Amino acid sequence: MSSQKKINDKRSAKPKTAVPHPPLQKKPKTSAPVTFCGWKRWTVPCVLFLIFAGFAFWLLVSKNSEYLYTAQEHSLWVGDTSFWNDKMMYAGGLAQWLGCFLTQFFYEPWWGVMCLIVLWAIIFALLMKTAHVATVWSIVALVPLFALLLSEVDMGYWIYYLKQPGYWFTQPVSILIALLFTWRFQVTNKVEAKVVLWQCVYIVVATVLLYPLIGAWALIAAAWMGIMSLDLKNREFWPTIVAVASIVVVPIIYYQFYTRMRIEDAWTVNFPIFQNDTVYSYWLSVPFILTAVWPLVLMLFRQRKEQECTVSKKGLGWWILGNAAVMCCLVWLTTTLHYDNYNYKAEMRIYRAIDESRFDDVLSEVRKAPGNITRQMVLAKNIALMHKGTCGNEIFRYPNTGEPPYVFDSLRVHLVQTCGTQLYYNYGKCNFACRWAIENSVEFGFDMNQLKILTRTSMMSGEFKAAQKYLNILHNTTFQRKWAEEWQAMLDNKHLYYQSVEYKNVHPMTLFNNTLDGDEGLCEMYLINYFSHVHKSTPKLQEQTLVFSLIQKDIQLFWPRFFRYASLHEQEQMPIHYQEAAYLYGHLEHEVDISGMPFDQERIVNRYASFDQITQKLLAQGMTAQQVGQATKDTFGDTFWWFYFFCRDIHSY
Amino acid sequence: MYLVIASCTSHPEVPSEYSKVERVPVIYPEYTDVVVPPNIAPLNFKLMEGCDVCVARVTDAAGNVQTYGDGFKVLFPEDEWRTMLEQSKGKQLTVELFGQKNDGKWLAFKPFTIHIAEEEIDPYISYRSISPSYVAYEMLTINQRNITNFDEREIYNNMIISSEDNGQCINCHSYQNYSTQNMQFHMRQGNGGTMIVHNGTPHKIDLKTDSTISAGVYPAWHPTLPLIAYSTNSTGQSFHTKSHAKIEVEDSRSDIILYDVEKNEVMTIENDTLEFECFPAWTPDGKTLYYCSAHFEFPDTTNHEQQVIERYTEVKYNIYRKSFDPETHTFGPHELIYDAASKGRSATFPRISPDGRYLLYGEGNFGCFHVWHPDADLHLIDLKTMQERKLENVNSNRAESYHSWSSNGRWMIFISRRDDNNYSRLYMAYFDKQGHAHKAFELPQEDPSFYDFYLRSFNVPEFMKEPVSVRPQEFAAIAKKPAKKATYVSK
Repeated sequence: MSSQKKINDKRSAKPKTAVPHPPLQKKPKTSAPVTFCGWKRWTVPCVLFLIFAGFAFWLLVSKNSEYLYTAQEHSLWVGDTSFWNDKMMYAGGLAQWLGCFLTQFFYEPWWGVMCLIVLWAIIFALLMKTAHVATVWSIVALVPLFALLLSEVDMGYWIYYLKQPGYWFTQPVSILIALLFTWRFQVTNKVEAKVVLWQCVYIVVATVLLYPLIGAWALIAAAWMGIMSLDLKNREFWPTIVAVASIVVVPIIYYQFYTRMRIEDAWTVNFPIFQNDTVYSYWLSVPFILTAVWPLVLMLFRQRKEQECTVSKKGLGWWILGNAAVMCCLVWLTTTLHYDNYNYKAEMRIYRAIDESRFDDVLSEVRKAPGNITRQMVLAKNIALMHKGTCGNEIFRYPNTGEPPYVFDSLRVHLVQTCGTQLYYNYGKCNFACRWAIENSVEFGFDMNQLKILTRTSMMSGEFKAAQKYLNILHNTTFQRKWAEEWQAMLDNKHLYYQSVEYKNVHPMTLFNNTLDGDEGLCEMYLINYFSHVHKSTPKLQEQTLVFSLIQKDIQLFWPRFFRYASLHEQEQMPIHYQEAAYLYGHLEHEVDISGMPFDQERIVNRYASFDQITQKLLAQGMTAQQVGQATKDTFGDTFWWFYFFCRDIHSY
Repeated sequence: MYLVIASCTSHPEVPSEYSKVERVPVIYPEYTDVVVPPNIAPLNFKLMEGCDVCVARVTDAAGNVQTYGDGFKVLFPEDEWRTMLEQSKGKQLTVELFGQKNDGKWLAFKPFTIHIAEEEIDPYISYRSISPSYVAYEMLTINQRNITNFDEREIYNNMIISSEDNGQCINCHSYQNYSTQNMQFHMRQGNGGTMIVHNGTPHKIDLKTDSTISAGVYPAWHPTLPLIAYSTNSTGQSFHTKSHAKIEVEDSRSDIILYDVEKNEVMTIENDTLEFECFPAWTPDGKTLYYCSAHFEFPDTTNHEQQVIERYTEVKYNIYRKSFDPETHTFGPHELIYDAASKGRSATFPRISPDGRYLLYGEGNFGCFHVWHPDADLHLIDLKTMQERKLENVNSNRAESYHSWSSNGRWMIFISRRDDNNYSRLYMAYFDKQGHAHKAFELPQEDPSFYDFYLRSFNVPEFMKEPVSVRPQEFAAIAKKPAKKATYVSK
């Protein structure tokens, strides 16, 4: 109030010292400073935040909407007491519960992003208020927000290995609560007497109160308060000492009450640590470390009271330029460091398309991929072709190698954790799909995606009571209710289910005999092995045994399956790829007489002759097989022959 | 919290107009015409007749009438429930249930009864809470529940010590004569060993010796002496590709050993190479050891595990027993008690009733992992007459397995997959003095919808007279230390 008065006084004093001018004459542009006081104090932060929010909205909604949708699929919130109780069994349970609740809003990505922006706005405001950040330095308080934004989109394939429920919101919520309590810490300053005592009491109470709710962020809040109360001038260290003591002691005390927490984790509980078996990704924790440390620095240099600021008009331009430069740097860093991989997001679109039986979209995604596709995409493409019934004519028109996903650390991505359940389910292996849905849920927690798979596999296996259980849970979520209601209708009226596209697609694949088996965690290898040994006469299943014999390039497996296929499809034209294989194998090994087979003259006989001639010629020129493969890919890359000779080193994982 | 709930308990009015339905209502859990202990927790249930609202009018044996209803659920306040049970001990409660349909009309169902036995049940049970998983075992807990109310605590949670690359599986908790002062459970892999609480003090023991197949597996505490009989097993796990059984666990070798807790010594009891001996169980007098054994011959010496997987339906267990001299710790010759294999069946988990008269066991078509076998049921042999029979009233068309007697022999607890085939639940049944089992009832929960949402299975239920006094953190502290190695002594 007093400082406000002073400024007003200064303003009123200026005309007195200035040279008198005619009333309409403009004031000189020289030294009058721009002052940020009163409501103006918030104009700069607001503008900066709006720029940040606009960028965040663009980055998240425009560039990562499929990822955000997948995020909510890999999270779970259930509106019942047991879910609440389960979360509260952990330190940080409240933040996780809220995080899980809010993550649901990524079902419509822009809703979720708006929620995030609101949280970030509050965090920003609290940070400004708590650290008494001067208006002209507002951009400094934006740094943690950029770090938090980056943390939303930097994890890549860790999304399939996360063990932090509601990660995307749990951290912002935790930080917000921690900052809120730190901001309120200032009330102790208003206590005229025994300020130090009140500060100590507040720190202890806040840490004890917050630890069960937000875990390690309670300790970080204690550190913030400890730094805030550090008074070097008066040599007052007690609140800081109490803060340090609280950080050390409170987790030890709470360890006695939590049976699910290791003592080693007591100081990091609810703080994101990315670990899978022996693999750590420390990089992914950096945004949170920065978010924890940055306010600490700000508070260290914090003024005792909020300051209004002035910028001389002379320096205004430089100040704007400086802010713009910092903003550009932060935007550039976030854009550069976020995980932006085409296949990664394409896979997510593909998984969703398969779930919704949009197989043309799956194929379209594979066609659109700019570079080499991943093994996941190859297998998804095979599923799409299988359900469309076009494997025989199209499977080799698409890429069939597939490379491992790009990871920025040593994380080992496995099919069973990314698309294994979907693969198994679509190939009719419901028990294995169910198994991996459960295994993954045990490791990484139940989520919407796994519950849907469990519903599907239970329905397909005729375990309707189990399906009902999973639907009960999905009914109690916020956005999956609609899906649950659709499946509930099918559960209540089985006729609807048996008429559904999905049932008609998958059920023929389930018509095999039970055996004891195991996949050792390698689902593609298991499927290859399975289809190599199964002999069934249902056309769809039988055709896949033929397809897999082609993928395996196994002549002995091929012929019986080829003839079986021919007998099951007597009135139909033999698909091109099967003709290609028969023609090739007939020439490679003369065990089967193919002279009487009605091969397509143009597409098989003439084309094979051309293929044989060109490849022989190139090999004769001294090219390696790999070079010949590259040279002939455009011409013959859509044939089984090219796949047979040049498609090597397929690694499954 | 309880105070708030209790104070909110409503006693709704019974509708004045209703249509009569000439059948008992469908409720969940199924508590119609069951026999329950006089100290059991409230049997809260929900009406499964598509009604939004229901009212239960309960009349106790003294003629006192009270109404309950909370939406479509019936929730009994613990104090009122307790009073009703006390009034009706040895008699019955009569429940009239009214349900209101969407159209506002009320239905009155045929009344049903809940019989209250004279004999109490042990106040505590413990069980393992586990996802119906296959290989992964993150978040395994051994819990204890006070079944006279709804208090549940964890005895041990593997997450208190497990880390990503050092995971820990826990299993096979067991008590000496229903007392928790002497108890044990196993920890596998990370910080592995057997946690043995002796006279209230926990110790971590490594029961694997060079002369035994494995560390101890299925345990049986001697009722009075500091001795534990264990099976030692070489166990494999496979997966059914289509069957609802889903998982198969099979042994390719197994023996039975005796562990002396005080001497920390292991000795062999049975180790026939042509037999898979398993599931030891003492008689209450401690003078006989029952166990199961399957005769299995391998045609060659290569890959026994694969042989067992390929011929898994040929593995059939019989029940045997051996006399035991508590003075000399010596065993007599084995004696075949029940030849299940000759009937094409397989018998597992023999458990002798506290009065020593009945042998309760599981029976299925093959193998030892009946917990996933839909054909597995509970059977009983009257050891006085040696008459064998499938236990009436308690079995379903899904798996029933892992059963235990209460200390007074009037109650049994077991697991069943009857609800949905995937998640095993705890059921209890009254076993009367005439040797008849009564209709089984599910472990009551405070919220009758609990099982609708609970994504974990219950297994290995055991009765206890008192709660485990060692805290999980104390177990964790011991578990982190190296295990004390047991020594092997020959017979």
